[in-house]
Amino acid sequence: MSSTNNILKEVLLIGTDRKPIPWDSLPESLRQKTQADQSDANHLLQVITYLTRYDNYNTTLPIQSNINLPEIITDEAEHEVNPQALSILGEILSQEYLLKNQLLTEWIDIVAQSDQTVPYEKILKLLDHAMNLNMATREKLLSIIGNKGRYVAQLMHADKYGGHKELDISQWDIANLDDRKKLLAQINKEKPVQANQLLQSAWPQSSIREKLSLLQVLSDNLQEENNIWLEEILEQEYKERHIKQSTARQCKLLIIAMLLRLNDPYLQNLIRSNLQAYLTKTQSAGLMKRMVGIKSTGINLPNDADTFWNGESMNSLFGIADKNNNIKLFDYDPQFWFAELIKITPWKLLCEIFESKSDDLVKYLIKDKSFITKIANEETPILIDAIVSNAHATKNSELISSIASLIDHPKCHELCALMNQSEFEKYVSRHKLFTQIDILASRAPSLEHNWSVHFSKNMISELLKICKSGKFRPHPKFGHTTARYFHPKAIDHLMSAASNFQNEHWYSTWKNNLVDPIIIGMRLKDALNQMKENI
Amino acid sequence: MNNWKLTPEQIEDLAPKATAYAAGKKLSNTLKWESYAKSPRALWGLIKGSGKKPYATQIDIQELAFKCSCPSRQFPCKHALALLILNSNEDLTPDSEEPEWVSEWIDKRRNKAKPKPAKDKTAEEIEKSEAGKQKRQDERKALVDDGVKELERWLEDMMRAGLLELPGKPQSYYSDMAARMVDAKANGLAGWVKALAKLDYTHIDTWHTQAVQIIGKLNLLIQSWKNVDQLSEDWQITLKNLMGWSQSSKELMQDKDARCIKDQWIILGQEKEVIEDITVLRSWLYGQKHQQRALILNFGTRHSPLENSLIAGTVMEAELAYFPSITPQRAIVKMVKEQLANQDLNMEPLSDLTAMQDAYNELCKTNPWYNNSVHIVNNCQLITIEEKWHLIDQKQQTIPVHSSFGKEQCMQWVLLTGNAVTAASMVLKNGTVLPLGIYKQGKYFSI
Repeated sequence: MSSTNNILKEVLLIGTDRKPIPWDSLPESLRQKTQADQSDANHLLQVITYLTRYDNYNTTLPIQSNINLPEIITDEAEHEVNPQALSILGEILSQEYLLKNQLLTEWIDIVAQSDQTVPYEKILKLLDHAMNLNMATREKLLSIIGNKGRYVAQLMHADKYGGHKELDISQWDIANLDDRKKLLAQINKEKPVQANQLLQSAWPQSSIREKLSLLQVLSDNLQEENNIWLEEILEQEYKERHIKQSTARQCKLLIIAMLLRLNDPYLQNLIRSNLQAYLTKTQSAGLMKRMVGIKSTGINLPNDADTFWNGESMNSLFGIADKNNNIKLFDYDPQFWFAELIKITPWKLLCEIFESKSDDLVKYLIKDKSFITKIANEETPILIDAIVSNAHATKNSELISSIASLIDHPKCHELCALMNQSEFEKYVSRHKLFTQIDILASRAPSLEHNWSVHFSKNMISELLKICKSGKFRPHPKFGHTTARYFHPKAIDHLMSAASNFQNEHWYSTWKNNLVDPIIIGMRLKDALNQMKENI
Repeated sequence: MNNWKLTPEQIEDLAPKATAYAAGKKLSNTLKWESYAKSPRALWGLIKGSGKKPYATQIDIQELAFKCSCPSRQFPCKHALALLILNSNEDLTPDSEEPEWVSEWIDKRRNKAKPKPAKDKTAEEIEKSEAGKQKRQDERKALVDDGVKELERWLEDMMRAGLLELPGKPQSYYSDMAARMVDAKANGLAGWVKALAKLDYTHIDTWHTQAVQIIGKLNLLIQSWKNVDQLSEDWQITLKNLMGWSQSSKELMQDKDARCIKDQWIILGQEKEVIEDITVLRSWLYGQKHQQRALILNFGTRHSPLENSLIAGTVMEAELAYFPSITPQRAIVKMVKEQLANQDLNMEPLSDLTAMQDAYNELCKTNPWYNNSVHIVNNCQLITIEEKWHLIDQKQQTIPVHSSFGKEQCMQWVLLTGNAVTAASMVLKNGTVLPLGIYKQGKYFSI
């Protein structure tokens, strides 16, 4: 019939007024379908109606040749997580994102440890909700969704899940920088000697920026065995050389900082011997100390450059910048270089050099007049940044503890994540940071309650006061954040606090935005703890 | 029945909007509810709302229906959804005694479902009523006859001028004729005219083939209508439906002669479409004992929310009544005996896509206007050809997947099948297929 269609197509397109129907070319069966008294237009209408009808019940599907069929993905029979775990998941996914992300991370972690898999109907939703979780969790998620899930993850969200590859050492040579960083972190944790070899092989071909990136990874995962390679590279490329290029200088500074953390005797002596030349002994301020004749050690920095405190030495010995780049804070260049040295020198070594306890040294470096400048008529300690930076790099608990108890400066808030629980609680209480959501959320939560009963209760009492004064109103995000850390034994206190509100609006705000999220959070944490035991 | 629960996915499907589901999820916490309980027939609860009195939410779990005292116009409302989610999360034992407000509602529903005895009418009243009905029918038929004549002339003019004129025609060319058909009480014909207006005339390779299809089917309907009085009763009803006569579910419910089938019905899938402010929900069912298919339609407008009690992927023991037609397909749920828990199912798939096309061709021989036929087909694989999704069978015959089947649904297919050949249910519509679900190892998974 298709040939007939072609014959009629022209007539159909330009109309019977312009072209008559070629009756002679049509099959007899079609000619019989028309009547003599009809117009040409009506004839055509009846003919195409007949043809359409015929076509409709003779439709065939096209055959496609040379089709590349997709690869068949199979999953080994694995245990699927039980319905209770899925029910917990459902509740977690309906929470606000901070609480959801924390609990979802825990949920994925528990399932990943159990070698169970997620049933197919949950996979798309999970992939969607977990997109903003950290890379490690996303990779764990990929391990619990089976081959089909992994295949779909790549098709749906290649940018978030496409990077999942089982990295192994054989891929180092062909890996890109991101993969190399991952691989280095992973291998350095387990086999640092092998990591040294990888760095050795990659070093000559790497650009200076790549070198800095790899060194930063090494610094975050430093192991004693890295000492050998770091010494070698320092010797070959940087030792006692003046480095002009800024990134190369940063590489040198990072290598020296790492070697110092690894107690490199040469560098430690270098710092000790040079600083000792500037140390002074003064009578201690405390009455007791004066009575027993204890003298305090201080440092007398020159106002101008000298044989040690000068740009050339700082650069060639340590990789520190030649020039003071913060003239607002540092009146003299040696102050700047001293601050830079504090950043890289292990705190324990500094205490040794200054023959001081951690608290005393912190006090000295923060409160001594020689380390205070005036900015906008306000007295500003010039070494806070350096000390906090040292605490970040070395994670020295004594130093963190000293800072937490002795320094009142917003800069120190950023160390909250590194403080121990008791220091953190004291710090927040002392500085009245109960409404500071970023500070409260800076500490990694866990399934166990993180805040003590006392702190949880204290927090509620303080919040109540602040709320009553009208200065703060709990919002849902605040409640969800609090829920991540709150101690279950302080729940009664939380509930009874609600009765303090006479105003219905304040009562419902308190209840909906604080009490309910905390109770839900508690319940889900309990459920996850049970799931951990039963899975 | 006692442990009847819906999965979160099924509850999400039931929600009128994604926001309603999210709101329901937030309210699904037990702390939000003053009380909640379950009996073998119902699920109910009291939840604090903005008013003084708590909202009373109740769900008929045997025949799935919802009622809530909240002012929401969404159906089911967030409270009903919350109660369903709560039921799916908690192990509620269905042993509670129904409070009066629940038992009254359920009893009323059960009594309503029973056919009411027809009022005794006198012979005179019956005659009068029949005469009135006949008069209204005759008046309408006369109007439709006029419309049909006018439409036929319009089509003839089109043949005279040629189809190449169509792309240049203003929209009023079609809308005026469609409006004329609405005036002539032939909404069905207006639909065909609108279909011509909606063609994508920028696709020079395809529009004229599609136009010829529409014109051919439309003219066939016009010519058939001319002989409607000589045709069988089933044909008359079929043609009237195609012309735009509506069918009354209420009348069908009380029609003792209606074609009814009792079966375990699998709700294969659903398709929601908005047509000129009216939301149409099509639910496709398959009876596993009799291998019959059925289409249930639900409508929603701005003023009356879409009511749906069918959930894709579930199975119910129920009796369906079919609207009369030469090829019966549309039905209503006459009575639900019970919702069945997950069990092994028996479906009899066609061998491949070719068999499906053949089955459809046979249906077209009987009813040339038949569209949207549902099939269970074996040996299907989902593939992409030139970045468009298709189904392919083992004879390498392919058919494009309907555009409303999105990427997420394609991924669900892949998750279920791992790209292997499978049996699937699908709706064949206008040369494309809309997959509804996968049937494997005795289980049915709706997508």
